Amino acid sequence: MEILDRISEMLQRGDTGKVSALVKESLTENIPAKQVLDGGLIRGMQVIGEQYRLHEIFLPDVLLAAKAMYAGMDILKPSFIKEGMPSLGKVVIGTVQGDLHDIGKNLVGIMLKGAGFEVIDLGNNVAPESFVETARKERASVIGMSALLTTTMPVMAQVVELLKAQRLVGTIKTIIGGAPVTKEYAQEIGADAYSFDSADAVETVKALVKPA
Amino acid sequence: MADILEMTSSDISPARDDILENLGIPSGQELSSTVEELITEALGLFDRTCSPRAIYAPVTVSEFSGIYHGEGLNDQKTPLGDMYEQAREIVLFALTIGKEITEKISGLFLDDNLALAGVLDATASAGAETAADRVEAHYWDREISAELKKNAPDIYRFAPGYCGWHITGQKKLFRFLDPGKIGITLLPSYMMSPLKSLSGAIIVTEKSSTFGNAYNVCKQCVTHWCRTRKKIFQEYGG
Ligand code: B1M
Repeated sequence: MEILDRISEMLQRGDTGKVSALVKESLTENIPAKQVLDGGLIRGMQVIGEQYRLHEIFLPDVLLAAKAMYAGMDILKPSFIKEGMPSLGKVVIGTVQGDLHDIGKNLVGIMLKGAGFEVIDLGNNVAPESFVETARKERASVIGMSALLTTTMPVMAQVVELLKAQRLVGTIKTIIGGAPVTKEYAQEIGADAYSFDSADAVETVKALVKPA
Repeated sequence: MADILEMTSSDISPARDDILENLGIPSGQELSSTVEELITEALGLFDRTCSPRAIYAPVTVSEFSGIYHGEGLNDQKTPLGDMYEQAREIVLFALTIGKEITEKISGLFLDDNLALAGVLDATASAGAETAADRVEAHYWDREISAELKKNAPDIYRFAPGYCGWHITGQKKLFRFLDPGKIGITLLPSYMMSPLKSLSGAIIVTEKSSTFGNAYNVCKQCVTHWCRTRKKIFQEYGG
């Protein structure tokens, strides 16, 4: 559908104004909101994610596109009032206790939202109990944790331990990342996955929520 | 005795290439007009929201020895560990560009002003590094004797958490320097609040070193900033 192609294209250009106008137009043309979301907004973000992964575009371009995506989603929201915004799954993310860095975590959250996940961002300096409690209450399928200091990485292990103690391992999956974090560390603490950047995190979370 | 250095935002305005580097953009890359505008806007915000201050104090070799060994977790062999005993001057420092700028960045993210938030974050990180350069240059200009300068000593900067100096070294550095005086607190995780803060030691030495790859930390290092910085300082500052 031509209008969806244009939404995707304008989103890739980071043109918030045009994306908003086109999304409104598509709703007045009675195109189902779910189709606008998938075929316009998410499709555009997929292209952006891939171009970013290949270093063809840079962080500001991704963030401009994400802003356009958010604007489009805001217009679509009322159409989903009854059944709620469709999503690939709920992810609770945060930077672990003791750690105030949050740009990396923010980027991961933005890319996950762009891919169609519902993201609950707990911010930074998040206590292990808070990750687990929120994920349980919200029935999230994934907890995503970020740490930028080696000294705060052990909090990630505490979250995994709490999930074990509450028999939630398997129901709530975990993914970890951040500059000093490694795949080996994820294995060592029993986290379900590790990711080195935001584009990779999207693919990894998709794999985590895929039914076995 | 510790001194406080008040700086202005224009003193520490970061170089464009440093901002781009933090954004993962290669220098020389052509940018869209939108991204150019974002950088200009971020620099304007940086100018209005940062309030850079540093605290610094010279220390003796024996004082520094206690601080450097910290909680006993350093790498066994480090460039700093091999260098400080022969240093002519050792200065501890801590600096912050203030909490307002971090709050501004978070606020922009919350308002979904994502691109500006990202560019301002990169600008603030580069600004914090520029502030450290400024502290180094200030110390060189004001505190190094003409006689020592004549011998063209090398000047290096190290920070807990880098180059084999374990991040837990922050504890003793903070105890000695008391950066609380300029509004920096150390969390139990050894993280400083506000976020855009830096700490470390400046070493002035007549014993030149390029480190080669004799140290494990240098082998693993991808930036080798110490080498570039040394060169820049010799060309412009030293
Ligand atoms: C849920 O799933 C996932 C999946 C993927 C996930 C994820 C979660 N979370 C992140 N990811 C991944 O995806 C993101 C997007 O692609 C990425 O997120 P990042 O957050 O990594 O990436 C950001 C988008 C951009 N990256 C960054 O902003 C961090 C870059 C590096 C170079 C860095 C910077 C810029 C800064 N720093 Co500093 N700094 C370093 C960093 C080294 C590095 N190469 O990463 C690091 C983090 N710093 C370090 C240190 C030591 C310090 N820093 C300090 C200061 C600073 C600056 C102020 C100069 C500046 C700003 C920091 C900030 N974040 O605001 C000090 C601490 C500051 C404080 N408040 O306490 C100080 C303590 C130095 C000192 N003594 O002053 C090191 C920590 C080492 C350790 N032992 O823990 C460090 C790893 C550098 C090193 N030695 O290699 C991925 O990691």
